[in-house]
Amino acid sequence: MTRHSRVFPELDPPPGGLARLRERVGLVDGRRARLLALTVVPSLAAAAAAMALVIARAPRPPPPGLAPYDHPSLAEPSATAPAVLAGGARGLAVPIAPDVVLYWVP
Amino acid sequence: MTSSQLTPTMTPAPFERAALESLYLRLERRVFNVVYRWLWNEDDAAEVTQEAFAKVWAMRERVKSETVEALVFRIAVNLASNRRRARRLWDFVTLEALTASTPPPDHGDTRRRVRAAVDALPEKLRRVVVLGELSGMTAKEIGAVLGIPEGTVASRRHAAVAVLRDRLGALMEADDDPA
Repeated sequence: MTRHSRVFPELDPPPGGLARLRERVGLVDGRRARLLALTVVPSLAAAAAAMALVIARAPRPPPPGLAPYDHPSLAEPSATAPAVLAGGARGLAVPIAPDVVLYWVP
Repeated sequence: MTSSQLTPTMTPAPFERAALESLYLRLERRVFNVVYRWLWNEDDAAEVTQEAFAKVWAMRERVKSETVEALVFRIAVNLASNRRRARRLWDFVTLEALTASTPPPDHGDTRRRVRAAVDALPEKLRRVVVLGELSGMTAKEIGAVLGIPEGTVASRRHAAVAVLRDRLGALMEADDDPA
């Protein structure tokens, strides 16, 4: 390309540019390391904690001899048929303990 | 089993520190001169030159050695343009342009005229003409820097030179013109 050196003369840059660049590149690397320490490490720690929580709360197998979702019941179903309760309403009276009866009225 | 089978193939790092320094030594002067035509201040131009190389270093994982020169110039020109815009805004807000009545003592009449003429160029013409004069790149390479076709580089450069010749007259004679 044709040059126009009177309008665009070449100037000398200030000396010591390479030394300043080395310093600056060191700062860039330091900033990267700090950014890594401040963002990536806490993120990984949080992810690990979440994983540990999920694993700790995972459903455990039932104890031996107990089927899944089986649980002891307070009241056994009564063999008695719907009884006539006081006031004439039909319902179910289930004795759940001595002197304690559970009434179910539909 | 050979050693190459034992160790995984290591691809060389795309851009090492030594490569950056060698690139800096090769391009510093040219980048500085290009950037200076936006900022007209040696300290600012040196600062932006450094910043451009630091940015290239920060993105070194994505840098390809065959396109790194174009990348340096693209970053440098964008940084210079942004800084110039910010400075103009600051001058406008603080009314510094009105209060600064005397030009710096080292600016001769020729330099002032050149600066005024280059400053008055539209940004897209200035980019092409300054890169063409001072980057040492071909029209094709400038096109790669600016993301425009080679033919557009040539036409914009022609237009920019015509405007500068109109404003600067004999100063704008080319080096190889039979004067």
